[in-house]
Amino acid sequence: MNLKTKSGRWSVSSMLAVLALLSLNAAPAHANLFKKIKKGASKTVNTIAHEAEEVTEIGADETKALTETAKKSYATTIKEGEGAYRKTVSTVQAGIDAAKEAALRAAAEASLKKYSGFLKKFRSNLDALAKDDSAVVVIERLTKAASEKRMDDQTRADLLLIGERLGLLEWKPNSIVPGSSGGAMKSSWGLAVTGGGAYVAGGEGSVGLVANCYRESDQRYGAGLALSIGGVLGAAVGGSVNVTFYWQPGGVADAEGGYVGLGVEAAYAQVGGTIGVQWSLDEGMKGASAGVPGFYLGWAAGVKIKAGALQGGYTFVPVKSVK
Amino acid sequence: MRAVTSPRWTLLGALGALLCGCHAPVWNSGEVLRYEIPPLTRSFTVVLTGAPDALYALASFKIQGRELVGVPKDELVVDMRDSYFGAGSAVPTGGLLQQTRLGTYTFVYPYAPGQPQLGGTVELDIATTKPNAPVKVHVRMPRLDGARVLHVNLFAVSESIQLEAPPLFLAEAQAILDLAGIRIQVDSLHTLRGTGLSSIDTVTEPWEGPTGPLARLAAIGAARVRNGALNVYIVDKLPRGTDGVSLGAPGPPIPTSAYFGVVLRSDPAVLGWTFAHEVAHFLGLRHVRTVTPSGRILTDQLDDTEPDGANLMEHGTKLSPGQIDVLLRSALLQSE
Repeated sequence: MNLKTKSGRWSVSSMLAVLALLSLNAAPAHANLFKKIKKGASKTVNTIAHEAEEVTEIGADETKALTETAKKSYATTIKEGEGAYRKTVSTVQAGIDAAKEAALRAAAEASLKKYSGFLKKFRSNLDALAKDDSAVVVIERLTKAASEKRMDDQTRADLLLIGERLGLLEWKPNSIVPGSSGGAMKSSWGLAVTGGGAYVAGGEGSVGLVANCYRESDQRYGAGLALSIGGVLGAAVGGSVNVTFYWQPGGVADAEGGYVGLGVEAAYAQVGGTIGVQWSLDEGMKGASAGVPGFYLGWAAGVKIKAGALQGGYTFVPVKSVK
Repeated sequence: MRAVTSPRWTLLGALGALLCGCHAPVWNSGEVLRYEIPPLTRSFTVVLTGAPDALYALASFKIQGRELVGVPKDELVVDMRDSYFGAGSAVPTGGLLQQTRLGTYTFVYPYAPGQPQLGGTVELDIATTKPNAPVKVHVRMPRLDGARVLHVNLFAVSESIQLEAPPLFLAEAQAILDLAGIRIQVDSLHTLRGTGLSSIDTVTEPWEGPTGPLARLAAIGAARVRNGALNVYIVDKLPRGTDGVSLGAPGPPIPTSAYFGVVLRSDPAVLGWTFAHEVAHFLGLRHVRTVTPSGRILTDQLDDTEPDGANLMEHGTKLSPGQIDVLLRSALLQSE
């Protein structure tokens, strides 16, 4: 995965500077996911133009390699789970008509508005993470661990580190995890790499990690490896390559199952871009009365999730660990 | 209890309010209510019941001449709307930690150690978004008699599950509540079939309203049994991520209230813990720290709790001395 830099306001001189530097630093496909070469270019641009904004983005070649690794690592899960994915897709196609889709879009908009305070902080924390070289290294390690189906102590430590940086650990002072005043609510967070080719015929997907926002009553922490097949995170099949981060109601134990989701252009400037909104299949099929969705934000503000048609898919959590 | 100013209050009405809340006096807009606190009173609980679509809170709470709200009534009403429908916290500004609710409002004093001592005269004024609708005022002032027994009725709201006697999950709940010296006493077991409420898909935020599914469940339970014990409903399903919901924090200690009870998801792995957590809410404990979807941070305003994940009012099992003090002041606790 290469680190690419983008700018919302590129001057001619800054673009030329970037092109010049990029031409000097061709990265091999198997290079580290987040390389410093292009970031160095951006710094140069900043020095000149004082206006370019760095954005971390996964490269297509690296994602393809990562997806191939994931396909091998999760071959059994994919083979056994294809039926569940196809059943979900047919359920969505048969059960969600135009009226229900419109109701879900309205529910998504209402949820984005209600959770805008949380989403603004989530966005802000994610942006800060993307600009931190040491954090980027940890994200890279997590992404590789996910593709290799590896949940070891290092992975767990990395999850706790990134979870805290994002404010997604409830017991930490900087927690932004939304809760309920009158009840016991559990939620989880995670990251997913989308793109790089289909996992099954007609079913692109993502590989990633999911972890609890809370500790168990005995203080253990739950985490898992997640593989999703289907239109995910609002990205259309064949859509852009992405690393996304998400928060969703329910713990790791609730993360497996069918889902429906779509990308919604967030009308809230402070959040920005398109946000993936996703419900469990069970809740999504209820349309207007769907419950609290999960929210998916692209890695750094410039990486957008595609707005698109409502899609169904299936998430597998083949490895769960509470430790 | 003695009402000083309201001419409508009769001795019979006041006794009714004390015993079961069935004959609570009606508050007229602009009225200030006064109560004399008997010696050795455990706590002062006020429950306001009014229009289901109106928000209620206390515009004034004065104890021994000291005002704790400190916000003009008209400003408070605006903030009640904003906090409930906008910020999603239901906690309006002011010096009093209170939660505005639709239809029924509950407040218990003291809610933290170190507050002005309960005694002398308490004066109340009410803030509402619907000032012309009648409001019933229920007041409970239980004696400080060392009561530590919590009576409960258990309801299995399911087409399949049946509660065993004694329910196995209660051992875990009891072990947690032992920290406060509270003993759980199951008074009755019930099975509710065909209610259409065994699988609850949505819970209204920030709090359940008087017409929501949880309130409908409370009405069914209240019609079935009214022995004063707290109703605990165990359902097959709650929304994703929700293991339990308390209908108040604190909840109204009035068996006929739409908010009388707690609802738990029937997951054996967490049922005991969830029972302890939700019952603790109903008796008066708040989360150590809650971040609302809008990003507002609410705390329990107790000096001896810290968000570290280990507390019962997070996802842990510990209780602080301050929390135990709050729990033991609940009007729901009985001496045997």
